[in-house]
Amino acid sequence: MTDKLCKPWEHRFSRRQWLNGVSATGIASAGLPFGPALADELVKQRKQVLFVWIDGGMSQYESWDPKPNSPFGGPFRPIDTAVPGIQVCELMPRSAKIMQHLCVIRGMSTQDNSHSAGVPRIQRGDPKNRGVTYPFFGSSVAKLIGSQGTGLPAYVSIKPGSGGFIYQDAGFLGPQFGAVAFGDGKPPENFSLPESITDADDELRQLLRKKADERYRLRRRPESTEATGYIFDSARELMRQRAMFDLSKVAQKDRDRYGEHEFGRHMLLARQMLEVGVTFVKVTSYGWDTHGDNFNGHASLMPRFDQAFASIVEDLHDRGMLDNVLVIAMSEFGRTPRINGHVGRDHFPEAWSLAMSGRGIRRGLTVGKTNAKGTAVEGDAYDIGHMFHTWFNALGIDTNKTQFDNHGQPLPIAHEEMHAVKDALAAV
Amino acid sequence: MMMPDATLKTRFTPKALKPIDLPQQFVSGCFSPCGAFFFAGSMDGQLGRWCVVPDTVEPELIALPTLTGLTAWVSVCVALPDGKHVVAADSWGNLAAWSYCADTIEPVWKVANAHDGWIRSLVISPDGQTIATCGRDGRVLFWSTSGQKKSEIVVSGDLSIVRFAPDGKSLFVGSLEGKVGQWAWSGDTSQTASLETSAKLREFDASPLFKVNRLQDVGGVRALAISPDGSTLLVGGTQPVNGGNVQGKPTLLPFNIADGSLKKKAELGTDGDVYVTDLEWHHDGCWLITTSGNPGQGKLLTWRVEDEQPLAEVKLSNCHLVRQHPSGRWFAALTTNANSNGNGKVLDKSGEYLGNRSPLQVLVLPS
Repeated sequence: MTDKLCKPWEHRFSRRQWLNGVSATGIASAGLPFGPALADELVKQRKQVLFVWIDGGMSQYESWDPKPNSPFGGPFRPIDTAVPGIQVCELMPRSAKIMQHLCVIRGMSTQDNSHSAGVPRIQRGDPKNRGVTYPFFGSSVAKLIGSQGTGLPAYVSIKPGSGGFIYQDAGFLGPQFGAVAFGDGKPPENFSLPESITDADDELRQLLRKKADERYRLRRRPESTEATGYIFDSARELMRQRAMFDLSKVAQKDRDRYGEHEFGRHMLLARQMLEVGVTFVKVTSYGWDTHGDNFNGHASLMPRFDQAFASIVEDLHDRGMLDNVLVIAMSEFGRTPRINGHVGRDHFPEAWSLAMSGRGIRRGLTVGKTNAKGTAVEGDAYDIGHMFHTWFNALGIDTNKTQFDNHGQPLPIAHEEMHAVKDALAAV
Repeated sequence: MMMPDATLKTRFTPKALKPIDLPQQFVSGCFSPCGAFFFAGSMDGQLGRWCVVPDTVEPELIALPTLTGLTAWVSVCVALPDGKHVVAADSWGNLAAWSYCADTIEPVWKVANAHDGWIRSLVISPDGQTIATCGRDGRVLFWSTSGQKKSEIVVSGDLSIVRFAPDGKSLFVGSLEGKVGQWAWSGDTSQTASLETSAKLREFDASPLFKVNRLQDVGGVRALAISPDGSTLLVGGTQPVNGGNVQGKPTLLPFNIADGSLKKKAELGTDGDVYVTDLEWHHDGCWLITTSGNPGQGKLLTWRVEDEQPLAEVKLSNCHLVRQHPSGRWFAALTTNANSNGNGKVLDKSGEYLGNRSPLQVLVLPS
């Protein structure tokens, strides 16, 4: 840690964080001390996830799986993409241009057609019922990969509305692995130190807090005390990185590319967070439950999604980060072929699509297919359990060898009767 | 404001006759000027054609071979006043005309990619010589009745409706962004013009019908008509509450064309009734208005600008348009079957995935 190019505050590793990061990146044998070369190597081997949650249900017809000129195909045209033979809806021209980076699963078929049950069920991987609450994918990644030495929260959520700490996502893993949520992409209130408090004062206060924590810990269960300490530590690191929340410092050109709308701003913040090394960044977009006026709705929803999604994939690629960051964009289900009287589409888990890119993912292809009218999957259908296997494998986590430990109860990290979608995984 | 008396209400209360069950879902429709034919645009590129059986107590339709040549949604169709041709446009930007009395089902002319994408509106000028179209590409295009492009007007936005004034001297263009403009129309279409500059006469503030909700543009101008005397512009839509599953009160904004002032704001239902979808002037002296909201919710209303309440309303499942039969004896509302919604896979008795249909509801006013 004495190298002149490597400032101490750039590598504030706690023992636990360091061990977590080293074990996760598989370089335990690298040893200490290390210099910038190893730091670079750590960054290169970093495993990150961008999870774009399109809440309410994006229509597969108006996005990844157009069915032109069929009874349920809707009014929009298909367009060619950068990959010959693959077409997407005309509402996503920029995603079409980066199709070589994408893998679209067109054969999704899941079990739940309600929002209330379906959203958590999907994001927990719909495992077999064992009477425990499974963690969301973000919490699982926070547990299995951790902060990778950044000191930042391993799992953050950028969402419209309010922020806070969403411990419920963690399920049986315990609150430490919940999501730190930034409501409307804003940092928490009182994020900056008052001017009257110097850094030295702050250090003294933190020492006092840690002493108090130690006493508190003696009388509490370790899960809650670890969560408390984790939140404090990661909050302090976030405070040091607070400049990333200020999007006015981002080039206007980039802000225009992503869009000045809510989702564009949130995706741009996600890029900032991935750049500073947050392991799992979830970005949520609300307002996709288009039971009414589906087509005019998607006519404005899709282009705004498209510009931000394509921009971040382009940027991750241009920055050399796409080999580190697993990108997933999905909803809790697709939308019905049938067009109701309100010119809307209802919920349809039976045959829908999601998109992926980045780490461990084979790119420039579609996997699975639906029939000519889009009413059913033809051939292999993939449930969310298949996708959890796929994503863990893409992150280098062997789902056959890795288990959760729920107070001594071993639990599979993904549905044990499902498997990874091999066609979607890059050759190792 | 006046309260319509009971006699007037009775006079303008439509009676619903037996609906005609069309075999699939349609998004547009029109009668031929002679009233012998009915046309409806499908969601898969076909223009349905029926012979209207005359001299029956209740109208009947006999299916004729479907007209082909378009793709995706046949979003609008209009019969030309020549009594021979019907013109239709689709959501992929194609425009075509057919000779509907002929045996052939192919178009007599077709303009591929007339617009870049969805053509949302098509109307014939009062002199019958010009076809005007507009769409998502933000342009208004003018065509001869033989499909020759005459001129082009660039207006920004997602243009939902174009209508000519009854005197043929101006036209009105509404957009899904809640904007309505009136432009001079000379009929001289020899040059490309920009309506944004010299020819614009007036703007009408239809912004109550539009809002941005998160990432979604919601609402906009969904119906537009001019009174026969050219004095009043009616703009219909909803006052959007939210995006996604759009909710809002179906609303009409009547404007005084002479000075652009809003006469009133007429709310014609609850939040679940959502959109005013179509408007037609009935020669007996009232407006025919259709609404469509949550699945199953819809109405056909008779209404006058001067009244506080509608004259009458008939509940119909998701009414998308109304067309008067040229005989003047009846009119028809294109609806959607009941139980048109539902999550997940819905199969019919043979195991086929179940789509919806568009019953054509026939209505009459008391004579």
